[in-house]
Amino acid sequence: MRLQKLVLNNFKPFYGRQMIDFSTEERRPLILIRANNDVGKTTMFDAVKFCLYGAPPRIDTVSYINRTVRKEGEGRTFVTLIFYHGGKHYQITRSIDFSQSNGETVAERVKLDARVEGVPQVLEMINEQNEFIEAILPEDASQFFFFDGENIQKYTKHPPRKHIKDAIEMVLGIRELLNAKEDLDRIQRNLGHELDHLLRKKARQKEAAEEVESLANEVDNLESSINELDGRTKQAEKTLAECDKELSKYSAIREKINQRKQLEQQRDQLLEQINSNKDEQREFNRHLAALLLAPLIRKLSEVREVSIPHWKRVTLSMLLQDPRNVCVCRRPITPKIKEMFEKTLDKAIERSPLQYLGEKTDELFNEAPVDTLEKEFYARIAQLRDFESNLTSVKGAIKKLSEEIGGRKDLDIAATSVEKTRARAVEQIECFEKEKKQKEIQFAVKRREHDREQRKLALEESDIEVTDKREHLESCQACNEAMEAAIDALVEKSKRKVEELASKVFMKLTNAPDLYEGIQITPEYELKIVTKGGAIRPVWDQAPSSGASQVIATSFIAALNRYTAREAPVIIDTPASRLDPIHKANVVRFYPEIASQVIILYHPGELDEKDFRPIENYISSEWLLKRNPENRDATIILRTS
Amino acid sequence: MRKMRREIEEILRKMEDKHNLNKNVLSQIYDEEANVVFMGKRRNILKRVRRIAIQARRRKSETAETGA
Repeated sequence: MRLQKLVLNNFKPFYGRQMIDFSTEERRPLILIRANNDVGKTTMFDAVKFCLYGAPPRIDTVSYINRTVRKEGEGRTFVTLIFYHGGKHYQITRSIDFSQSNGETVAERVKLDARVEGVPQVLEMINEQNEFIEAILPEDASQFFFFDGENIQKYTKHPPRKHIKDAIEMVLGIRELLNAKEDLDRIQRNLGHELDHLLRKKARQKEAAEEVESLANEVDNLESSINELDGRTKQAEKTLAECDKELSKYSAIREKINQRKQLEQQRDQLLEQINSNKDEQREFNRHLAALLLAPLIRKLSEVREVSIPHWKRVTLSMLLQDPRNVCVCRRPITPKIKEMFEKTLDKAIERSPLQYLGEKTDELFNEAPVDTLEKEFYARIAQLRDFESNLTSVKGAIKKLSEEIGGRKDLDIAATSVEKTRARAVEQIECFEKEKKQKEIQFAVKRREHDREQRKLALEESDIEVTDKREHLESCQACNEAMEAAIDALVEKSKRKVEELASKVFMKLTNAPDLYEGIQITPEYELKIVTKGGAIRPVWDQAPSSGASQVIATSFIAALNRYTAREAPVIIDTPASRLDPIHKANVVRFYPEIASQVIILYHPGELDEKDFRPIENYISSEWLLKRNPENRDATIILRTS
Repeated sequence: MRKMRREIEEILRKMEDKHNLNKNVLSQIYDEEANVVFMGKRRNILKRVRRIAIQARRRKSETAETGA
């Protein structure tokens, strides 16, 4: 890479288009740029880096836009770097379009325009742009080409930091290996996490297996509980059925008992009726004589019809004999009546015992007529017979029922007991069914849980997977270790060369070459000074001044620069501000050797014409950055020689 | 091939032997990473490197054969 031109357009203090020519003549690698502080020296240094690598992260790109041009409204800020690389002409422009919004400047995204041999390159993706630039000069390595003299002392600081190793690694251009190491670290970490995860999973799996087993036991227990409940329910149902059967028997017997009771009542009624009938019969028996005599009495009655009573005969005789022919009733006795009297008297007979009997029977008959008695008698007889017949049948039925009922006197107690048993059985069945339902729900839940856990368990990784993962991790570890060892080997190999180169440069730059032999890089990547007496001392101990440190750091940077074997310009900002005259002279004399193109940005206080006199034959051009007299906010570039 | 590639290759080969890795494992990883650095193919790099790395170690039988 050989710089040709740098064009700055509205970039920081450079208002409008400003250009600097970096082309060098044969064997004149130096370009000197002089500027006072706060004029644009470091800006020019930054402009080259911005053009190649873009804006650093967290930098507001508006700060790159010139303050004057910002006030003018819309516009464009850009930096163009023109150079040769690998025999080809490159033109790289990084630009920022800006506009005004609500009184503020708004910068658009930074754009890259790259042309090779005048042909625009299609670099839309950031990766493509980075790749394009990295192929020219990797950003990591650029720190050994574009450096601030005041900042390089970090390499000599105590305690030693990673800077030395990092610098060597970067300069080696082993970004691929470093990335590989980083990626392998990440993969190793991931594999470690995965293995841990697997092991944790295995531990959980063991617990899960135990849980599944316990769930299986619970399921079995629940199942056997349900079966037991089923058995108990069946038993209770059986008891219930038996009770029902028993109770149905009892109900049949009870019916019979009731029937018997009714019959017994009937029997009692009949007996009562029979007794009453008999009593009545006994009463009736008084009339029995009359009844028995009824035929005779009837005969006697016939007889009595033709006879007249004694008094009647006497009376009739007297009346017939009475001449007055007047009746006792004072009525006259007519011949007809007389004739009737006579006839009646003729028929009359003397009163006999029979007549007396007849009279008595008449009395009886008057009390109870024979016909009625007779009818009543036969009715009673018939009724009694009916009663007795009914009684006989009722008794028979009672006897039969009694036989059927048997001697179950404790029927009600037994029935109550059975009913209690039945109620208990019903209660048990309800209870069992309720319990069974609950158990079945629990069973279903546990069963599902068990099945789910078992399925999960089946899906879990086996031991083989753990072994595989462990092997993968070990393999990755081995790979990582090998990669690290390869990097260390490369760095170690390079370290010797860098040490050698740094020692050579140091011996040229130091103000006391008779005291030192060179620089050594320790295994811990600390820079040490080797004295003539063979003593090896840390830089911070041997050369605590900032100037001496800067010389050692410059030696180290120069060594790295040479070691990269890249063809690139060296741009040094503020190279000698801390150096004493001897160091300064040595460093200035060294500049033509450091690279084939060296751009030195200095301020008048650190270097002057006298300092450059020893190397004036190596200077191609000299430039001056100064404020524009017409615009104090703008810097202009002037060529001085 | 990059300037230092040959040198790097040699060291990688030595490390493969020293760490009992399969031949060209480190070179393969190096190539994948080189694609990232120079071609910007960052996508899936971890997956690719992982695949190579987990099969990097020589099996015992292979080691025995190589030893024999």
